[in-house]
Formats: sequence, C-alpha cells, structure tokens
Amino acid sequence: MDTATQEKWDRASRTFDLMSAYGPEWRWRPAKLRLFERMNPDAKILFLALGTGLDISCFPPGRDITAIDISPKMVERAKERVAAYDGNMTAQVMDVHAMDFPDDSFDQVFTSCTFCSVPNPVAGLLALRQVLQPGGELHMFEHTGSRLFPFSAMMKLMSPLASKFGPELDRDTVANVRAAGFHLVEVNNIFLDTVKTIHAVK
Amino acid sequence: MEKRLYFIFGDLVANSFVATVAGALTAWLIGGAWGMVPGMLAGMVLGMAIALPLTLALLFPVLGVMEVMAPCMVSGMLGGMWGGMWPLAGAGILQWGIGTGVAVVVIIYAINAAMSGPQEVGG
Repeated sequence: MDTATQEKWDRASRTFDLMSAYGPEWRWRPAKLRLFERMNPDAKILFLALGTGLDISCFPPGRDITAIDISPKMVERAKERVAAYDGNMTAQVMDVHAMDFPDDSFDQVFTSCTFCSVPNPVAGLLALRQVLQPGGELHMFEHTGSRLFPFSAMMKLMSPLASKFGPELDRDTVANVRAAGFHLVEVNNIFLDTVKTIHAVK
Repeated sequence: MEKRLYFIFGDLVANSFVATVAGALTAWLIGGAWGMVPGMLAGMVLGMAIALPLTLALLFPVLGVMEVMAPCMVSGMLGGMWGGMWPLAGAGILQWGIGTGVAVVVIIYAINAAMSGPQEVGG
C-alpha cells in the first residue's frame, strides 16, 4: 500500500465535500450522468476512486458495483452514500496498484477524477486491464493537462504545488490509456481539452 | 457549451472579480512605475499569483475546478498586466477588470464550443 498517497487523501477527506460537493459536482453532473448511464444492468462493475461517494448520486439504480479507494477516511465518509445506493454496492480500501481481485473479474471499470492522482498512472491502468475481462470496457471521467497555450504552461507550473494537496494538473491520460494497452474507442472533451470522458476496451 | 445561468453569471462575476483584484493590487504595487515592458511582465506574474489563491479558496467550491481555474488565471494575468503597465486607479481599475473578465469568459466559451465533443482517436 502506498502510505504517502493514502495519508494525503486521508487529510483531504476532511474538506473534500466542502470543496467538491457543490460547484464542481454540479458543473460536471450532466457529463457524469451521461457517462454512468453506460453502466450495464447485467455487468460486474469496478468503480474507482470512490472518494466520499459524491458520484453515487449519478449512478443508475440496480447495478452491481464494487467501489475502491486508497483512503480509509474517504471510504468511511462514503459509507452512508454507499448504503443509500439503490442497487448492489460495496466499498473497499484498496490501492489500484495492488488490487486483490482475480484477473478478468469485471465487465466494466469506471473512474472519476482518478488518474490525475494515481502515482503511477500507466501501472494503475495496467492493473485495471488485468482485472477486466477480454473485451471489457473502461469508462473514465478525468481532468488532464492541456495542449492549449497559456493553459498548458499554467498547469505545468501549478502541478507540483497542486500534487502536494491533491491531483496533478498536467497528466496526459489519453496517452497513458494507450500505453497501458487499451484500445481507445472515444475521447469526448467536456471543457476545453482539460476535462474529458474516455472510453476504451481491453 | 454551458447554458446554466448560475454558471454563466458566476463565470462573468468570478473573472471580473479576479481581474479587478489583480489589477488593483498590481497597480498599487507597480502602477506603471517600472516602465512599460518590465511592469507588464511583473504584473502578469503577480496577477497570476494573486488569482491562484482567490480561485482555489473562494471560487473553486462554488463554480467548479478547471472551468473556473483556467479562465481566472488568464483574467488574473491580464488584470495584473494592466495594473503593472499603467497607474490605474478607482473607476479605471473597475472598468479594466470587468472588461477583461467579460472578454476572457466570451473567448473561453467560444474556444470551448469549438473544442468540446468527440475527438479523433486515431488507431
């Protein structure tokens, strides 16, 4: 377990809802609803990172979802939202780099603002690929770096500071998905080229 | 394209606010006293430095993450640039701040409209 990352997100859990529950979630809600609509009713679904469970209100009902997060305090705060979900949902503390699941055990994987924070994103995506069935789907909602000036320069400048408290700002997640051996199906820009949904298959 | 009035109005107010505060502080600190080019460059850096905490502490929780951070950093940079170049004061700061904020939001919305949606993924 990556204890440094765990401690960082345990600390962030105290103010996570205050910072994210209103503006960011409301802004992103339409795009997240469209993304999570793709959760298949008969699929075994892995969701990461759970955080305090803010995304759960965007999930369609009746799905079979296993949610993980590296931070025990985040999972603790998510408990009520997990329990209130109208479907089969469990939450576990787990590092994406060291998951306990058998190979090929999920039909779909969903991520939400996750691979801006996973310390080794390609290794994390490779681990997801391993637990996905052949032909299984990866659906991501992520903020990434930008190719547009001046945003690209600003994000590179701010990323070292931002990563001390939360996510990195200049990740090339689309390239990382490719590097992990996924076949890209769709990349959809939500805001400029910095917020996007990504659909890929194993 | 954002169509919710809360966010459109919020983006306009946020960017105008950041540009005005950055302009006022850089005008107070530099205000054209360093000459045009050094004042402009120092003002841009200072403007971004002022925009960052304003954005993270005040605007991020109510308006969003990238959608507020990216434009507000530009508004702060431009507001700081005006304040570094010229001895702005009073209504002049407000005019430049609001003008800058509105212009940045309009340009970002236009770029976003052109960029959003499905992208070519290639092989």
